[in-house]
Amino acid sequence: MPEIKVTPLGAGQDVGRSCILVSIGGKNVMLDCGMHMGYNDDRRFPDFSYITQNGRLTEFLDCVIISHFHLDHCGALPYMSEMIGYDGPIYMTHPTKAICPILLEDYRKITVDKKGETNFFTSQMIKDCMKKVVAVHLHQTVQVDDELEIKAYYAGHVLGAAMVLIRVGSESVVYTGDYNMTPDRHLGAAWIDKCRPDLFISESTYATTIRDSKRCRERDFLKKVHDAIERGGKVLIPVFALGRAQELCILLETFWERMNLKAPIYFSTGLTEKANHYYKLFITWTNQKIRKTFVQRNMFEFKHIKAFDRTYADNPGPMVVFATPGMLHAGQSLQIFRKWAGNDKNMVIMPGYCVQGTVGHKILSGQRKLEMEGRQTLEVKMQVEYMSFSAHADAKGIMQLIRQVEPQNVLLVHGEAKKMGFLKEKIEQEFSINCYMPANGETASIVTNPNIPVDISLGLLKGDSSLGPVPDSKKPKLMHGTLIIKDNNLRLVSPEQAVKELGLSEHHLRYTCKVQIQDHHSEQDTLNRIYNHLKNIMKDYPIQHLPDGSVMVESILIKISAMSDDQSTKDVLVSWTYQDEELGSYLITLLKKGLPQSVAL
Amino acid sequence: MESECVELLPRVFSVLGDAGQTVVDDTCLEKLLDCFRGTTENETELHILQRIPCLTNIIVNVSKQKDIHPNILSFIMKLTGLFAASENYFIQLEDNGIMRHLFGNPKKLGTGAWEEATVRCGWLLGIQNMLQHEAVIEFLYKYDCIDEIIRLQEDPSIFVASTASQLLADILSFSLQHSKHAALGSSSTIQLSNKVTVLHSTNWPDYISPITGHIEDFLKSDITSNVQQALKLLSKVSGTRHPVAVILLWPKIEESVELLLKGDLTGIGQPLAELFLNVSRSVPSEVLELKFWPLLGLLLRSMNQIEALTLASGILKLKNCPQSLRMQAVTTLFQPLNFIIAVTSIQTPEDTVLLDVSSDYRVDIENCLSRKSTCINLLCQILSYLWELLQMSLQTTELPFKALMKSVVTVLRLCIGAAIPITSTVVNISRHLIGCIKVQRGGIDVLGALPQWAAGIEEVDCALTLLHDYVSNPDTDCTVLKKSLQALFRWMSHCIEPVNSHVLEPKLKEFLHGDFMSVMKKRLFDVHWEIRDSTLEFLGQVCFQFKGVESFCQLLGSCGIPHLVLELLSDPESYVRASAITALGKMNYLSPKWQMLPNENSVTAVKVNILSYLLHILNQDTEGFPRRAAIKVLADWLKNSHILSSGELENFIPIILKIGSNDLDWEVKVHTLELAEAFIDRSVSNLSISPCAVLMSNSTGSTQVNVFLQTLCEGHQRSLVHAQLHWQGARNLSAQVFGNKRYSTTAEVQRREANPLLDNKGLPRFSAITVQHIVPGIRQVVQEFREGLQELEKDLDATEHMEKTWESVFNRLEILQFPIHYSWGIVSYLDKVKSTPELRKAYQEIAPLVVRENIRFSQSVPLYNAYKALISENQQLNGIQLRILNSSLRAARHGGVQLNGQTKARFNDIQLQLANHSSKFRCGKKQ
Repeated sequence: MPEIKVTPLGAGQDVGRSCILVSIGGKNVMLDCGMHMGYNDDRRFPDFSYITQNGRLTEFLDCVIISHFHLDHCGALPYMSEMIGYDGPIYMTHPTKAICPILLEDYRKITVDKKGETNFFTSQMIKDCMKKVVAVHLHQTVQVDDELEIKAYYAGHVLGAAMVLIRVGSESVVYTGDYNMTPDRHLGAAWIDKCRPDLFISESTYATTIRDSKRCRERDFLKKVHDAIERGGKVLIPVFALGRAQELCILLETFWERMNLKAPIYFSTGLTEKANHYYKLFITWTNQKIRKTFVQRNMFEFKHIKAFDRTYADNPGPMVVFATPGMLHAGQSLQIFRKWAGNDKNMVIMPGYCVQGTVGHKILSGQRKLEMEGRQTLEVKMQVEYMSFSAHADAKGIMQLIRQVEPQNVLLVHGEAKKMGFLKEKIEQEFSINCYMPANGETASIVTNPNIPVDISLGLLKGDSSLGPVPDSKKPKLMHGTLIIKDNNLRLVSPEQAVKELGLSEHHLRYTCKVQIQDHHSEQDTLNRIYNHLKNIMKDYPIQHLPDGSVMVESILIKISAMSDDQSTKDVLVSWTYQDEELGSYLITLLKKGLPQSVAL
Repeated sequence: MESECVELLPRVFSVLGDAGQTVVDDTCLEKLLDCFRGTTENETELHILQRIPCLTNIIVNVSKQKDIHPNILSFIMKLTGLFAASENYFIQLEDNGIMRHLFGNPKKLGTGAWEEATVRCGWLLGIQNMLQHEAVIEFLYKYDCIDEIIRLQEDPSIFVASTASQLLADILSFSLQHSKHAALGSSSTIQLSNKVTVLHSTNWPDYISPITGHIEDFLKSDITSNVQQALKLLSKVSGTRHPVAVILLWPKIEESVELLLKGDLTGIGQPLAELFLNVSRSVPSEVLELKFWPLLGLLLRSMNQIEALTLASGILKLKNCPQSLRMQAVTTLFQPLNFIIAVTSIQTPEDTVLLDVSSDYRVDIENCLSRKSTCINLLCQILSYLWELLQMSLQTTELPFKALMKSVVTVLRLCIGAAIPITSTVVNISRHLIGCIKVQRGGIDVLGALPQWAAGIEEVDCALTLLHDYVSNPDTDCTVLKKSLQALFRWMSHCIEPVNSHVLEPKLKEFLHGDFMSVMKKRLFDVHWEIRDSTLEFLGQVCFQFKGVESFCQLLGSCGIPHLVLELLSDPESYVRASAITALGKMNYLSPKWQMLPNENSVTAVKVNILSYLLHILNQDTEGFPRRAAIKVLADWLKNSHILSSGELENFIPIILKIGSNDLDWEVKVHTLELAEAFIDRSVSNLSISPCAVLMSNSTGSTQVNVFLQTLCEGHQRSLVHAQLHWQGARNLSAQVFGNKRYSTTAEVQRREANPLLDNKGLPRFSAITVQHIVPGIRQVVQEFREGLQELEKDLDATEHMEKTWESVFNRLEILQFPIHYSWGIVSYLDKVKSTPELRKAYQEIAPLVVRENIRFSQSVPLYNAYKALISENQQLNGIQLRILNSSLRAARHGGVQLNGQTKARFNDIQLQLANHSSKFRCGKKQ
């Protein structure tokens, strides 16, 4: 039986980094190639040596597909393509291809400049890697090679995020990447065809949360920010440059306008400009509302939000600062955090998920004393708030998408084991399909029932439907044909054609059966009676009375046997070819019931 | 491990040991383990355990708890393993029953825990960590752990499975190495071969038998996956620290292996090949059994086409294999290519076929090539193996390069439909290959690696034409185009190598004067930015490489490409802009030769423009890449200005430095520093020629550099200094800054010339330094140091009540200390490694001076106060700075800064005496 094999090298029962290997129909595809932010050495990259022992990735992998530009989904790409030497194609959407190098550069800057690492990829490597990338459009079917094709769908998680449908022959897999089922202020909701794949690989970050309504959360967020500002505190919102940031900016901007607030809002790093630039460039990827308003007013140009300078952090008085990166693992957001952490008036709002090992993850899990580099400890007195703004689908959203796609099997990745287990049970109950959740390094094998395409000759189709009554659409109809397997293709042709093609002589096989009927009429009359009887019952069938004293229904011949002793019992012979087995046996049962008296001669 | 850590550990472990607390973050556990692993490398395990008693406690506690989090359990297992590498501790733990509890029988841990892959992994890695003494193996044998490890080879998690088989391999090689009989022979090869015969399996320790038995059983098994597993295990044994173990095993398995070879190879060909290759790689050939090579030959013959390729390329990489086998491997590798040449060539194939072809192979190959997927796969494999072989310089000379060239060209021609098919087979193959990017990629790579091996005039012609086709073909894929340009560059460079140039250069000239330049022009404006970028990169490379070739310079100057590149400076894609800048920078190397051209005006116009363009980009471009490229080009020009004679550049230096130092991008700043360095260098080289001229330039350029560096060092741009520290090393920077101050006097330069000991610009010039240099040189640096220190102390006193900054104290100190550290370092190094009586005499003469100066330095009260001020004022110092500060404070205290009056005098006396004694002692020992 053909199998689809899925081995996560990352994202199997964790949220560290995504890197999933899928073998389908003899093709090997790598889905995402992420980096683990919790480590500083080679452990941050997936260990590709498990995939292929002698390290020749190019020969082994048919393609790499990147779902979106977050570093835990694409961060190891330059490592894989330039340092390990993968030379094959890499696919991502246009926005992802445009934004990915910026984030990689940014991360490189942090590691090489701030942490002083030398064994890390260079700018040139990032560029060379990006040159290997093939950009795809939404809903465009890309032919990777003769057998393998991929198609991207809108995922809504961040700008350019995509779900992919991978198809090899009749087998197919959908990989969602990270997605979001509720449209927000700047992006639409994920959407995909009802493509009924054999396997649906879904993220499950929020597998157990059903999020309260978006409005409530927004109000909550604004209230918290407002309270902090009122009591003279400073609010730090660590964000990734793209995605959440823009949504929260829009939110605060309108709130400030409405409440006529004076406290400054800053947005750090030059990345913002660039981010907004890309949003403008890829406006088609955002949701409809923005697209409409864009004509009148650019949603991304703000009145109250100004660029941040590092010296502002020491300014007295309340302020709100958006700073990158979002997990507080390095850079400006961490610097500001260190300055403000000691004051209990201040507040940090974490609007997204934080990977294990980062400062963000530590303070969210309630840690109040942090060890920073150089053996300093930092006491966190400021308020720490978590707001689930991260644009992942919640349990409801995941179920909704599964309903929409109608897969044969589901496989969960990118989530915590316990939560996954819960969701798995739910999916299995509700849809009665198998659900898998392999851990990192474990392989899940999914058996598929592939369809085998067969060509049917037109002659056979026509010939069969021309005979007999108008086919009943509800009743399956039996068709006879000969299957010819030749030169790697399958054909179904009529027996006559097959015989002719193969140069064989045709043999006919007829069955004859004797039915005794109680009838005192003469042979000729009995036959007439049978003829009329059948004509009454089987109105749609061509029934002929042949001159040689027999009745023919389609190809079935009915005769009265001459050698009969008893006048009142007649031996009726029914003869049919094996193709007309059904009709033949029907006639026999009919005749066995005898002829009704009322039938005319 | 430092005491602060040790103090922290009990609390850390109390959290870990508490089942109520949840620790989900396993990265911190991994890092903790790293920390212990680092410590065990420096200290003995027992020593650590004595210092940190809570380690034993946690191990004992956790092993007794039932419902512990799997991550923590796994961590504890690995940790225990790390420390149980010491035999004594292992025995201690076993006596306590801890070993048995943690590692004895995994079932006892509770099935729930054992179901977690991380626990199984921890169990295996724990055992692997402690595998340093025989007690471990006896322990494993006693508790049937070996069977469990064998079972774990089939674990659903690939991490666990591969760890398990690695562990088995380690156990096997470890116990064979340490068994009594093996210990008799030393590791020299002759004795090894004796040992192989001496050591019979009956004498082996008991605990090996489960493993060897397992291997033997599995090798004889009917189930393919079992055989595979056994073979993989054997391969791993040959890759361990004691690879000869596999030879000891060989007699036991030889028969089964031979049987396997003669049977059906489906599914086991690859692991068999790997085993043979691993064995022949890791074992010296004298020890190998005679039958080994024939068996390998048999394997090569009986494997299927694609698997045989791997083996063949592996064999070609071996150093010790017999010639006949090598020939067989070459044949195997080349046969498919052979076949393609044979079917495509119009003449009788006799003269072109590389090797004789055995008829039974043909069918196999023909089958392979007739189906699209196998055909592409086969060719890709061959090409990538060939490329690998061509990368290795040794031994590959045996490959039939001419034929290889021909076949690769044929395949590549088929790929773009340039070959005319004659027979139906070729039609079929070319139908598979047309537009196949995979094969194109591999083929171009091989072609690019070929010029150094086979490059007669015919080949050059052939390669250039083919690559031209690829570059000009609009359907060529971006990656393939990039590779084609790279290959073209290699072939072109090959043509102008002095050995070949007289024959090949006309050919190249002919090629370049064809329509190649117009193709390049088209490519420069391709719709894909990838192609524009690759073309620019190629042009830049070529311009640099061909800067000495007259005809090329003229061609490029007249063909209009420079103007097009200038246009690309405003490309929408920042990567392309950056590459355009780099290409222009390289092109400038040709420009001196352009002046001979008729259209001189336009060229010089371009030249002047370039500079203003670059400044414009440096000033205006919103993206980092173009700005980086621009400043890099400027720095490069300045460094090579003697070739470029770019006089006007100098006038712009102040502006460039100003823009560069204010840039937000860190790499732009780093390259600005390089530019400054180049500028300083140049000023200095001018100095030595005519001192007067320098004094002039001193007033213009150098003051600018001074200002620039001052803003760097003293301003708020600390991060830049950091970048520089990381990037080039601290010494380089201080040398630069130091140099900058010193360069301004001609005396300094002369001094540097006179005494190589004082030349601290680069690596020490050991060959030039003699004993005569030591006394005057060191005296001079000590003198300078003393003056500098006095100056610094004066400044510090004057600003006593003002806020001290890191820059005003430590940067100055670094600059001050560097020359004396550098020069004195060389002297004491020479004293240690190349001591002579003369040198010792000089050393003894000058050492007290240095020691005295050192004492004075460490007892400097103003400095000590400055340190204290720095640490008390709430400075934003980072970890590195804090550490430097703390150690300086400590050094000052240890140096006696807090002493005064008589105690101080006494202390200094002792110091001097000590130095004297140690110096005498050394002399005594050496004489």
